[in-house]
Amino acid sequence: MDSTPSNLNWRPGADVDTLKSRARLLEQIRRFFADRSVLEVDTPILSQAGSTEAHLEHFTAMEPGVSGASDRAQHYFLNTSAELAMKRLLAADSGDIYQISKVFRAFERGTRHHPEFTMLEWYRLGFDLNALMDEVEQLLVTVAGSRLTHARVIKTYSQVFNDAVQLDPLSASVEQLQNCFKQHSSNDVLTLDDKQAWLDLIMSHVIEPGFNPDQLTFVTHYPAEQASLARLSKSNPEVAERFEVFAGGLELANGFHELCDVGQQRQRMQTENNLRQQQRKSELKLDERFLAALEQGLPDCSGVAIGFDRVCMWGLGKQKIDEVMSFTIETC
Amino acid sequence: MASYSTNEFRGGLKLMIDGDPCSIIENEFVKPGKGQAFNRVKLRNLKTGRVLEKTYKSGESVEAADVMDTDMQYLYNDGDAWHFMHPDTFEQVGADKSAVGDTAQWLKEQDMCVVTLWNDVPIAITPPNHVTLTITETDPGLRGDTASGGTKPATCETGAVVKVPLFLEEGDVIKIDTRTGEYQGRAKD
Repeated sequence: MDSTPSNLNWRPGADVDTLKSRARLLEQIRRFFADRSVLEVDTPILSQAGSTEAHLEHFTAMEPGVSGASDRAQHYFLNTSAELAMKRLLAADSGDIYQISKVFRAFERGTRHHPEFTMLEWYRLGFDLNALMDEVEQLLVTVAGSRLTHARVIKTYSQVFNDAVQLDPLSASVEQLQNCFKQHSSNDVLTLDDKQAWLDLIMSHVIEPGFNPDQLTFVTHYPAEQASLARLSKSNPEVAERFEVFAGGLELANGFHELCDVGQQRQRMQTENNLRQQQRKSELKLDERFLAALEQGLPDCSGVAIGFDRVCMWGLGKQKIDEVMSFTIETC
Repeated sequence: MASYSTNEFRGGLKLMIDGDPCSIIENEFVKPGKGQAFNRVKLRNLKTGRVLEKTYKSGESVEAADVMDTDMQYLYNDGDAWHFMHPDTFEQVGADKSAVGDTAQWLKEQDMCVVTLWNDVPIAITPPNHVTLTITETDPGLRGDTASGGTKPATCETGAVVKVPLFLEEGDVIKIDTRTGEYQGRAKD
């Protein structure tokens, strides 16, 4: 009989108390939405179309061909988020919906990242950005509010740059951003070619770590280039109606006043696909079922996605995502 | 030339940075949910010992350093180089002053050391955590004074100077922790 190697790590990363707290948080979240008559939905983890977002890499799953015929095997993408499927439900008159699902992002591994994680995502009809930010705050206070000693702060993307590095991110040149980073970090960086990457670098290395850990920081109105699936602001099309929520430097949530214009949406997906090509990532077919749903009409709504594992980390005061997960990619 | 993608980064991985071999101490993945991913890396320059920080765009590749840690026996110093021998193959290498540095004071003939080889050339020597050395020079011992807690400098056979208790004499054999340079006790014969 084969013997089991005694040094094999079979134990969970989270202790039993943490697993119990995690379950309690899920319970509270479900009650939060039940109280507000938001419907829980459950869309597939597999998808025939992938997300075209330039900075995401997919896992794929394969269904073998009949009697091993590999040319008849079917390939599916594991979702990087439930967003597109949920918007198809919205276009089919689901009304307000939420989902707690597993999502998958290849190569994203660190103390705050895990390639498979749990995402809480919800959509509210008729909500604008402010209404949704209020609700996000209510939810976070409900499930993990004991860590907050200060009221939330809301600042625009331009404001947080201005406060921390005295620079306007919308008008700054690549050279200015490069010099700004040199000034504020001892860290040596290989050359980055595009402006958005410099903004991401300064945001993640210089600005976010300075946010107050006892307070929720809402950052709104991201540059239009970073709009993703958010609509552009009517009063200033240089920025998007998008927000992110941070607890200290820990990014918890990303929300949009959702883009309903199918023409713009298709164009953005093509732009992202071009970026993918430049980065020598695989170009992806656009999700035509999603675009068809948008064509039919997405109701005016705002939506937000929250990293549930991060909320657990924050609520329980854990430093590593491994500490709130049963098993990790290394031990699964 | 071999290289590593940032996705393969982990502690201990050896990379070439600005022409010098470095070892990863810490690798942190940083990524705004919707944005560019970065690997923020802390490295030790294996030649100078200096610690540096670097940030890479995730997915980039960095040249690998052909660096190997090998257990070898210290043989002798010929005035220019310190010579080490592989215990199985009897292959010998000579390490110069820049590779040996302050470690020279802990090198006793026949002790096993870790020799860090870069392209087969020694760039760093790690002595055993504990060495046993004979005192060659120290002030006369205060016999019986094992309790006062005072110390005095003592020079050892390798040239190392260590603080030792007052009762020790020339010719005594002592155990030293090379990581702290501290006296650990008398060696039992």
